[in-house]
Amino acid sequence: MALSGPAAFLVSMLTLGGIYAILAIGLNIQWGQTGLFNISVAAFWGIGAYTAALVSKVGGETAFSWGLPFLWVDVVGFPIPIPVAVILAAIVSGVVAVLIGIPTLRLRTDYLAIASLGLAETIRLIFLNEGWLTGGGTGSTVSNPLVDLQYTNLTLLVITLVVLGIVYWLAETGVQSPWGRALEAIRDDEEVAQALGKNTFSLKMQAFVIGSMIMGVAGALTALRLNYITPFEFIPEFTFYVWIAVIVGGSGSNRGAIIGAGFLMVLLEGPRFLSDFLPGLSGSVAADLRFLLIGLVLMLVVTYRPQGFLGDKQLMTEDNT
Amino acid sequence: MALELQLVVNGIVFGSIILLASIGLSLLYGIGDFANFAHGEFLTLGAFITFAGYVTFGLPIYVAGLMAFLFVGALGVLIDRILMTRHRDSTPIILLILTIGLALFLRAVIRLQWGDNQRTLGMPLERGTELLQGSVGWIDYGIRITSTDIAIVFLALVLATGTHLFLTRTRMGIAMRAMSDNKSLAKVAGIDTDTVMTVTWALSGALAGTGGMLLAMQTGVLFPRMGFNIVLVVFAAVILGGIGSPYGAMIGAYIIGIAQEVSVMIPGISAEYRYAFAFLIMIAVLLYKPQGLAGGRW
Amino acid sequence: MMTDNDPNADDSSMNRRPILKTVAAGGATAVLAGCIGGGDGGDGGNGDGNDGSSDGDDGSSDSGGGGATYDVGLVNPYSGDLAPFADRNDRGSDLALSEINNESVAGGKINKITADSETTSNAGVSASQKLVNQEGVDVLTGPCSSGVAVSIAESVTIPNEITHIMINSTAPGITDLEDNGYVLRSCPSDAFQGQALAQVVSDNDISSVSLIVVNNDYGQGLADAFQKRYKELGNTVETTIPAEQGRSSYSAQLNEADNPNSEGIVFIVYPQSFQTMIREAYQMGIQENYEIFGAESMVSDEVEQNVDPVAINGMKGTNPSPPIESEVYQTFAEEFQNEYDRQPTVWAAYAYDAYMMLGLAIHSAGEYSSDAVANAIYEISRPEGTEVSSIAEGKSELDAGNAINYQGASGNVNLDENGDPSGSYQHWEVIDGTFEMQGFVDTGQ
Repeated sequence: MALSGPAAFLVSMLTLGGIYAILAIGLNIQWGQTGLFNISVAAFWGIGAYTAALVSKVGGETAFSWGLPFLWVDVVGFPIPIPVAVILAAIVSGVVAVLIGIPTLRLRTDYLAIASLGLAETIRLIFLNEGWLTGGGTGSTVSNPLVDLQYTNLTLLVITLVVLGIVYWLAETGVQSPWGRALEAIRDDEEVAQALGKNTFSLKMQAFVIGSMIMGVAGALTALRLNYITPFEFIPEFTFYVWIAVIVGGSGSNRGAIIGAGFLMVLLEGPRFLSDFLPGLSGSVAADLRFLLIGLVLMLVVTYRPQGFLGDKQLMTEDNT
Repeated sequence: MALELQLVVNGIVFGSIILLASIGLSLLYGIGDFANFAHGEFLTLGAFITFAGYVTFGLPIYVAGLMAFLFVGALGVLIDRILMTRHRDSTPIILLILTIGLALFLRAVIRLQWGDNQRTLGMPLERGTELLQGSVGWIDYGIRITSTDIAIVFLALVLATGTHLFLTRTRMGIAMRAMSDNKSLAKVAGIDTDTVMTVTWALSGALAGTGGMLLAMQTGVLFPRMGFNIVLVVFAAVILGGIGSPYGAMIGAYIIGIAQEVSVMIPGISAEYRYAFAFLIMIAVLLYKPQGLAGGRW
Repeated sequence: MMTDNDPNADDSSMNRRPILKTVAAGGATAVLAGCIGGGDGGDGGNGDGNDGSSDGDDGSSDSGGGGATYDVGLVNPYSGDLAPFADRNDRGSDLALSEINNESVAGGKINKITADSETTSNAGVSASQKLVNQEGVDVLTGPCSSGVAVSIAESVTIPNEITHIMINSTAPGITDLEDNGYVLRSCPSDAFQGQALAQVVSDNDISSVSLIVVNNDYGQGLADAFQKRYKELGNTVETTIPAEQGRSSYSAQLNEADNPNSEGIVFIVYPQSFQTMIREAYQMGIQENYEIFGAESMVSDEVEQNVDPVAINGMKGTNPSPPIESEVYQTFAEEFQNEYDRQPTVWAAYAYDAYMMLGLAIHSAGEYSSDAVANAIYEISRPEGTEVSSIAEGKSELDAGNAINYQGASGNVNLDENGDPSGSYQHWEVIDGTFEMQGFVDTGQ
């Protein structure tokens, strides 16, 4: 409510960029750190968003009538703070990740890619068809306590950046720990890691679950940003976007993931300004040109700089599978 | 609850549509060692070329289909020469991402050319001929078939047989098999692996182009996402059959096609979930037999 | 009249764009300066609104001026699942704009700025943030799907107190948005059509049906309304079968609908999937055994031109009135045909009406700001007042001090207190492959 003009636009874009950065860090733990080729980012993103939406929807306005501060949402008339809703989103994503991980993490890398894409599609179909739970194609409202604030979007940006900071710190700590080195060993050569006595399935599961939980957190923030969610948000295209962020930023680097998310925002939102310079351009042609550009950039990056901005060159160019 | 034979027939028709795409994808996967995510766009392009030939130029449908075969095949060669020759030594992951970029690029080109509005192929409408009617016990064997159904199955099988002959009877086909089995050995044996890759791209594209024509004949309407919407099922068929095995892909395509259609008979499961069903079958088979049904053989 | 520029409005509006752009950019900077610190107070309200249109006010109405520009945003699905709607919205709104800008309203012209919603809320919210905050528009139109529309309303337009005119979002739930009067729409809620469709099916003595429904907000909203009314009328819905857009085959859905207990099948799907379905239905012999019905989404050139009449003859359904026979619609259709060489869809009519109402509202208010438009747009569409259907008529009545009641191409667009136009519907039957209107539906309510 408070901000307007380019500053408000910038706040909104930074929030979206922050959400993409969180997703990219989650994916980086799975792919950059452990070598798990997961194409179900959109599914965990959606699970987080729907969890937050459901948590916020149940109950009424009691938190406000109790005079509690704004950072609370209601569950069955019982107020809980937003951080708890975010954590719940992470937990539900984690549980689903375990269930999906059990059959798929035993598969080879490229099988995992396609199996996870298929499972993402299955989860999207559940969002779409289980109306009693998710609102189906109509979508689900989010009772977002932030909208009653004076600085709604700015508050959300602050929350997003704080979450991003925590996630980054956790990921970096993880990378430098013995646990992180064990994951790298799996990434570089799973058989050797196994021979060294590592329980590789368990380690892969840990990386998969933690990465998915982080994606769930990003989903909860997305629910707060959109205030209304539908299954059409969680289509495979968004998974590819997050992959672009990780690949361009550099696989294996958490800082790279954040830079990649920034690059992605420029790639996605920049072309919106294309029509300012080409006034005769029709809306649909501009949209097509944007996707043309995204495809082209992706091909050029992997052709000329496969390690991205800050990536591990070896990971991308040597065959470990 | 009765087993409806009609569903099995529908499954065979759908299996035939994805058959050609599956063979092409499997060949590329086996010989080039990567998953081509742009394969769905090959299908879409094949469908739109068919549309251009049949509707825009008013050619007979099979001539339009031949155009799709040739055009998408040529596009395969072009992609290989321009883009993929730089990536002969790249990892499967690089190639996978590369083809995702290629898919977005091709879909944007299709939309720029044909727009977002649906196009209609406008094949003559036909009431299915009732071949059988009645039921025995719990099997309902009432079947209706249209000539389009028969044409789809027939064309798919003819091309699959042609591919089989090409792979077994020609020098190039045998070289492709050798390269799929062992790349470095094939190189040592004096096979021009570069040319083999280009031919693989051409064959894979041409088969997908024809697959696109079959898809267009079945759905009647064309739109830029049509190929992408079924490429997941094609992947499921390829993996189920065993990556790199064109014969496995054939079996996989029909199993997935029939299973998907028959799955609607499971009570309490909405018809919308049949697309998910293909994956559950795939994952189940992989857990039991990680190499796929063909078990790594051709 | 302000025919200061080229009389050929459509071309001139194209040529003029770069110049308008600069004006608009100037306006946006002014907004920036005025608002970052300022608008915080609870009173905020239309602070940005007035600032944004400051250059518009200068030249407003009577003073004549050199022509102010009123920036209006259109969030349109140029890509994604609903991409086919984008062109319809553009054509409808451009047709209205050429008339508005030919005549000029309140001494100015409307400049439409578009942004792509990609048919997703994520992109839709970004697009509307750009239009509202970067371009500084006071009125936002679009997007298409109701889900995206609600996201934008909740996250962007309502908090910024921007008037939001939805063009294609027919979900019944939008009626209940707490929007302080800022959200309204030019298309009727599907709650009305659901009732009308139920009435038509019931009047045809079909007492049990299977529903095949596109599983998005449109399909579900309409199906729910249909189901409720149909049951009230003493009938039964055997099954409701969801069908996602863009599938290559719907034989499984049709198989499920092929239910011995049903007498009819009701299709609530888009033309694209309907074409595939109706082919398959014909192959399966469905038409022999069931009466088939459809919602207004069916009534389209695509279906008329591309579906063999044999497959759809005798199909019945509903469509928002007054289309086809009314004079307003005929004029609209004729102009549309001349401009784009094709027949309009009902969606183009909604877009046309949205911009016509906007133009008249600006003229009635004598100024351009979010609040002024939000207030005036109800006034110019109310039943009490002289009926007008063009900008010229509306202007002369308004200038003479009379109240007006805009009659749109899509219907009488009388906005109720929730900002919904009341829906009145005709029922149609397909005769020789074309949709023939058969008169109004009396829903008895």
